[in-house]
Amino acid sequence: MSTIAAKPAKRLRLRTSGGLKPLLCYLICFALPLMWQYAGLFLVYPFKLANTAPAIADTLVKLLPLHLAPLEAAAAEAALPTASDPALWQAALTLRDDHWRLFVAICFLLAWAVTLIIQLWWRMRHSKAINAAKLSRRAKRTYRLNMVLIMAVNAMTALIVWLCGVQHIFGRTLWDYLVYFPAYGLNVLAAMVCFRLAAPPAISGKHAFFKRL
Amino acid sequence: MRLGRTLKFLACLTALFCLCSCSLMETLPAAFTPTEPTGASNLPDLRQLVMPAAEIAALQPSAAAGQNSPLQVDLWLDASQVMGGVNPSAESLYPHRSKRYREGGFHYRYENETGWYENLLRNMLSAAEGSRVRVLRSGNEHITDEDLLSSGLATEGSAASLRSLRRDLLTYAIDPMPTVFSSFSAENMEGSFYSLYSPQMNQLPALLAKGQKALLENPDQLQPMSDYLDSLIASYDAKADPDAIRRLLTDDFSPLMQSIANLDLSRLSVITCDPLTLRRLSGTAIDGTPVHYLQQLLSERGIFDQGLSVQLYALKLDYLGQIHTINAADLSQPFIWGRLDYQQNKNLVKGPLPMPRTLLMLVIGSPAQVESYTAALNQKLDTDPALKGLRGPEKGQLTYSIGGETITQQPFTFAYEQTTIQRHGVDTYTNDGAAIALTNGTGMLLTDKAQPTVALASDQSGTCRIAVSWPVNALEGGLQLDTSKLSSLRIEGVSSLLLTDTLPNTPDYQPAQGVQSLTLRDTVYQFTYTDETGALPFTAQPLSLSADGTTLEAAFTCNAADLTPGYYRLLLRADITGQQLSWPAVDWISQWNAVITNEQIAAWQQMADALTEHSRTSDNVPGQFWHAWGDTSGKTYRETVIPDCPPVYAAPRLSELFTQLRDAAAIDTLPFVYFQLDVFVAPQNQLPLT
Repeated sequence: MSTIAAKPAKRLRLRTSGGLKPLLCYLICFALPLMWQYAGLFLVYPFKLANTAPAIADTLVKLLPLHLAPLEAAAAEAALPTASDPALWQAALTLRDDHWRLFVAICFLLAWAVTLIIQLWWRMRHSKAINAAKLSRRAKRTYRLNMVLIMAVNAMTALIVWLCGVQHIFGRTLWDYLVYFPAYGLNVLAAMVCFRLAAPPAISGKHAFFKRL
Repeated sequence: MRLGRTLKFLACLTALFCLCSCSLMETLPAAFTPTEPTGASNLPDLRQLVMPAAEIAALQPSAAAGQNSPLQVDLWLDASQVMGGVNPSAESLYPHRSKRYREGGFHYRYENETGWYENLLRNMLSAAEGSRVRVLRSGNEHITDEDLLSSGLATEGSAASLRSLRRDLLTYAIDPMPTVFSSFSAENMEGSFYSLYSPQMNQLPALLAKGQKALLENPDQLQPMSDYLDSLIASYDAKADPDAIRRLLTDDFSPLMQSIANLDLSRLSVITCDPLTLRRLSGTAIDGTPVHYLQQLLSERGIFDQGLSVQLYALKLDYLGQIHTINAADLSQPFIWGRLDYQQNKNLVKGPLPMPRTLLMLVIGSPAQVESYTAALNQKLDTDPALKGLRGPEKGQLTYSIGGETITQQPFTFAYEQTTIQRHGVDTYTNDGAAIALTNGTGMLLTDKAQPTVALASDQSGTCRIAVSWPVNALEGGLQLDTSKLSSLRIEGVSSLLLTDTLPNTPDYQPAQGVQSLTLRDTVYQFTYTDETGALPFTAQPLSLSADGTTLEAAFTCNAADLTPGYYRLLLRADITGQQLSWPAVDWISQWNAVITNEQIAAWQQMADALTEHSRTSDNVPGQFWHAWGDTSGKTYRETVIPDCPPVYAAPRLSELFTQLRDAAAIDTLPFVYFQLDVFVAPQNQLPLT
């Protein structure tokens, strides 16, 4: 009776997630549009676009089918006064500025959040390393689909910003376009970079479609 | 495969969306439609500018003097020789008193019959009953400032103290009974109230005897004043100095002028004036400037400046006396106007034959006092039975000639006319009740501002015209605005808040003091508030009245291109002077007036001189000169053409006197239009405020 000593089986090492580098990639990519929009609204606007705000609250009241009391109150506060009291005019125009910047920020944050959610949702869907080749092919197809969706979401939001407000701004300059729209492009770019560079390990590799950092 | 189909579907959907986007854009909600936003312009919204509140100085009406003071009345009685029909010349062709000739003038007396003047004086006194009344004698005697100072009566030369002294010296009676006026007249007027340097000038001892010393203005001076008057009276000797009267009568002096010069403006003053004592009311200064004596005196005394009113009376009274001066004509032989009805063949005097003459009277005081006093006086004059009935020659005994025609004097009645002269205020057309209109150009009126504000579009071309109109108020006293003399409108800049500078909008920017800054995009627009507006881009148009005279319009224009964005605070001003107001016509003035020329004066003097010359050859007055130089004019007497009868029945120089009173009462310069408004200049799309 001979005894063959069994070799202990080598433990399979699998990467469960992207680690630090993908996290940094996400942080950097998605912080850029945020910083851009923040800088546009709070650093550039007061000195390059001051007192150009359209009556966004009033526009939204007219557009939205629902009667939102806070929105209507805001529209009323920012309405041009019937009296020629300078203080009322100053207050109304200041409110318009505040409302407009809030509206632009909300629109951007919505688009940014939806973009991030879509990207993270895609990442979660493709993190399990089962049938990796099949998973990789599917990830590639869904990536393209999601990119279209992200572009559509950002484009739609930018279109809303244009239609609701920017188109009403008289004497628009390059600063208007730089403040209100590039951040949506950055959203799309951020998503694309994260798709390609911070994909789950199961579908990424050195020479794969989805690169591994 | 499924994903591939989905991608193809999305691609087709995108292509379809792109193809339909044009039509979709057209169906977008209205809020998505691009429109010109309000406040859109190359300038910030100027409606945020704060123009400081306007401060319009209130125009205070001047208070009338003596409104509520107790009534004290001064009766300044004309004591000139003409007034009393007294011939001051000791040697005269006409006797001072005879069966045919008498003196007395307005205050003649024949037995118990006196002229209406005495009744008038009684009524004047009666109308002031209940008040302190002082009677002052204002004759041809001068008491100059120099006399008072040299006599030691006055130690200080203040005009008020000298006037006060003079009033005491001229005081004839205080709180008199009506009978005091009876003492003025007598059949023999020598030494009467109306005589030159009459002994009656000094009534101070009588006042002392009556215990009225304290009622004088300078009671402590009573004895020196009395002594001074006695010395004045004693110094005059008609025979020794027959020319004394001529030296006293100067062009700018008359009892009326003396009265006005010494009026106590706190009292109601009633002044009687024989119009023949008004030698000249106007003259010429050394440099050729016309001088209006009465007007100048009234202005110097500030009678109308103090809100006093003058009621001018012209009274037709009866007169019997000898007139030695007819205004500036000094007659060497008196002009006989009225005489006794003497029947020579029976050596019988039937009674007086007075002739009509006009007496002037001025009541000067606060409007309320003048109104109440004259109402009482008029009521008494209208009801006094003594002033009813006819006087004068009933049988055509007295005649005179004018223009070769003989006029037979008919009996006449007492009559009077009156008119009030006072400085009337002129309403100033201010912001109250004004209507503003933008009659040309693009803009609007901002009605909710405290200050009238007109907003003009800065980005327009052409001329803007702003018109301010007021309903014309009826002027006080029936004054009429002479539209042909309306003064021009002036536009003064009160302040401005205008765009003065543009700076880059940086975090380092700090607005300077007095600067309002508005930001638009990358530029800070600085608006500077200043009280020094400099040259204004506005042009005033002449004031105008509407065709129906109911609306006054003040308008100004501006070229829109010259306007600077911001606020202009403007003051529209126009002043009015007395020359721009026409007084209402007073018909009776021209009817009672008589015009006297230098040529007439020379002719009358020549006639009197001829009488003097030829009277040396005769003791009797030639028959044709028994009264008013007879009933023939144009004919000759000893180679002297007999002139027309001087118009002593009328009131020579009345018209001039009236004009000077009115000119003195005319306003000097008053604000007529005083309207403040703001002009707000902003881009056109900022003008609709609502």
